[in-house]
Amino acid sequence: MNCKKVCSLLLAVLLVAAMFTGCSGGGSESGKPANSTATGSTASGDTASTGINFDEEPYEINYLYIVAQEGANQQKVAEAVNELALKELNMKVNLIPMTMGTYNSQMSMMLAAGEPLDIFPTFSQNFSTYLESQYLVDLGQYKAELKDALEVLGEDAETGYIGEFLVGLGQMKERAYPAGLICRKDIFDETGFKLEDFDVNTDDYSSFDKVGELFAKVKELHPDMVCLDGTSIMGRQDGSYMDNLGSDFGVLENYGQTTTVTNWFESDQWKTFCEIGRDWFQKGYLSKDIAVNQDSGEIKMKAGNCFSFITNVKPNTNVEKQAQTGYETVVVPLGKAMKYSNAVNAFMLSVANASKDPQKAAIFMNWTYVSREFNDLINWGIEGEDWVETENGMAAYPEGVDATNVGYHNDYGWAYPNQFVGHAWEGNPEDIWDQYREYNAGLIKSKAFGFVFDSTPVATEEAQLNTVRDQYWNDLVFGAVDPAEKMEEFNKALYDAGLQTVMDEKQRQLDEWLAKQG
Amino acid sequence: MQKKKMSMARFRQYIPLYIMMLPGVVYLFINNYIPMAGIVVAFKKYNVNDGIFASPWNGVENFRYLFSTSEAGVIIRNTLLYNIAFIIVNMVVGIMLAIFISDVFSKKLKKLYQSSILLPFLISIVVVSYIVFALLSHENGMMNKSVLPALGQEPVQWYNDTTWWPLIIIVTNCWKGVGYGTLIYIAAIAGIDQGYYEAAELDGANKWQQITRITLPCLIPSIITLLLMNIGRIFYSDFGLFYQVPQNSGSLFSVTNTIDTYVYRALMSSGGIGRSSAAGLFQSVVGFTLVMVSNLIVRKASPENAIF
Repeated sequence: MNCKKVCSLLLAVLLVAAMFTGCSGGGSESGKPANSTATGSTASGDTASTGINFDEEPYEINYLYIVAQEGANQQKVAEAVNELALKELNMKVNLIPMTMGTYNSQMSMMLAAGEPLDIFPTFSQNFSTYLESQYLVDLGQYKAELKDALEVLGEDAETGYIGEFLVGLGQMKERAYPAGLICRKDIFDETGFKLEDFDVNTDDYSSFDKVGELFAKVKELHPDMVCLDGTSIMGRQDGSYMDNLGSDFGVLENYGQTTTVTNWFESDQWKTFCEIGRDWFQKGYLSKDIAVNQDSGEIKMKAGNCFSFITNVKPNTNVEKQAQTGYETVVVPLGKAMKYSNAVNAFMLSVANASKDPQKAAIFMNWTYVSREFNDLINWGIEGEDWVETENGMAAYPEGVDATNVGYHNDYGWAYPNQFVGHAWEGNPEDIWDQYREYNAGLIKSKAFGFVFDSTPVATEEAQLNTVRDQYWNDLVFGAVDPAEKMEEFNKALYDAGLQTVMDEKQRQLDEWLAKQG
Repeated sequence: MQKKKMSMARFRQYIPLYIMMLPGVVYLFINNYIPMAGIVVAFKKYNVNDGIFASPWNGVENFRYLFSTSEAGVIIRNTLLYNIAFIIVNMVVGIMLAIFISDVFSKKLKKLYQSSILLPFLISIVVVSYIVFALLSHENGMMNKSVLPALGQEPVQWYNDTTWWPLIIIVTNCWKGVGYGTLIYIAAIAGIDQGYYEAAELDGANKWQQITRITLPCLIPSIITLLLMNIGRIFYSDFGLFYQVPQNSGSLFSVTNTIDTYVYRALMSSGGIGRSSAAGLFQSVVGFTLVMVSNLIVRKASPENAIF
């Protein structure tokens, strides 16, 4: 009797499943024509000029972007952007603001569900999945529409290509992630050290001893203070000392000045970094909990008992960190600055496959790279309410408004198309954008700049390598365990998880790319 | 003929009950059964243009990353053993607490105990992880700063030492989760006819005899229901408990890595609907099989207590 019940239950489930298969089969049929019209408009896209037809019904762009938090003036900003785009492009805009946390949890669902979306930010580690799932539109078809944006980006636009497919465009910002030590200025001055005393570089690792001396002095003056806290140290700065070719598994060492793919985790450099970390940990410079700590250095410094932390630095780091920590800071560079593909394409702006009219989306995207008003609006909010222009052309809070009561304020220039055309915030040097350009022009360039690794063939291996890396590297880089013992075990686990396969594939793709460069 | 009439009459009698059941059935159907068709995505190389059903088949490729790791054994062992330990510990402690609380005479105190046992159940696991961190932190933790020195013991590097973690995780889980089961057992105990106890007392049964001869046998149906429910989720793990509470510490992976945390770590960067569904399907199939098997065993042992 009971068995019969179970059988009938299973049968019911099967029937339901069959029914559903039937109806969504129809659904995907109806989905196909939409796709083919998209490719249809592509063909005409080559001939169409970028001239704007103001007579037609305005197309609505769904523009997803990252915000620091949703402010009270979000609605006003949305209306202002809408009005601006109607006037200049005859397009309506539906702004979709998302915080980083929401983005991480919702983006993949939005894409899989095919929700209305035209332009959205993407991370390089997702490219292979997105391509395989066909979430993206190849922007290579819309070069004419994207003319201005491509001109602004210059050679950096090359890093958006995976094979022949242009997945997205980078934002205008720094093009390197060198490591730097952010110190509290009040205590740094107390120690008597000068910024000029530090010439930390990887040609001579004994230059890192100077940082150890600084910590020793801090420890002497403030025995209860944690000298270094946060989530990073040299061995964790996987984008600073080598070209990581998209993931940490198989890299070009020595700031990308080689074309041989090697394993960074068994290099002398990484070993030395681990030994320095071990030394600092044993001398009590690091927080005892640092290997499991998940709070950023900014949070730790703001809490008041942390002297320094290590992170990526750029021209105006000290202004940014002062806003985030509440302390004036001194930035000690911990190496050279290198320009490589992943520094540009780690975070990009892409056009979604769900877009009803990718050509219009491309035209809109192009506009976002040149419109000063657009970049100011999404970053600083409504002029006169959330910010005002100062005499020297900077943006600043109006009278009576500050960080606590402002209606809209992101300071996320790194996440928006082109902050260089917009206003810089007060406190930065007036020529900050020129400083950025100069900085970007003077970087060491990795030999593989422009090459983007397509990780699709080794997705399974990379998934496993990620878990192996997570298991070992925090303990090693922060010196919670003895590198002499654990490093070998770590590397063995990496090779067991398929490191060699990934390295071989990287080398193969790189050689192919190099051959094409001539 | 007679029989058919009977059942028609019976059916009519139960019509109001069927109507009451309807919203629940509709909900289950929409929410739990229809999405089941999506299971196929675990065997597909999904792309959004073709949709779920028209995407090309991918065989068992999506499952490969789950089993090709050398850690697979450790991960499955951790998931299973922890869940078995949770089921046993939470059941024993839950029943004990339920019996104690049921015997509290003052109504006000009874309510107080009930609520305070349920309280941790309502606390977010992230908060719990910080409570544990406050105890175990190497720098400022209560254990290393106060408790161990008072006992004359050396401080322990808690987050680098696997020795104590099986215990820490089981205790944390019990502290957090026991209240839910306790409530169900308290309700079951309240439903036991007081007449049994009065009769037992007249016969001179002491408290312990009353518990073992009356309370526990009467609790068996609730115990079995809870047991089967938990066995169905034996291949799942509370992600927060195994990821947040050990602070994602690498040295503890050998005792804290479970299927959920492994999948999270492996897919956090690359993602992919196919591989995520493969993990979910695997967990569900194992859970389903185990529920069927355990129900079969229950039915063999005591047919009246089997769920189906």
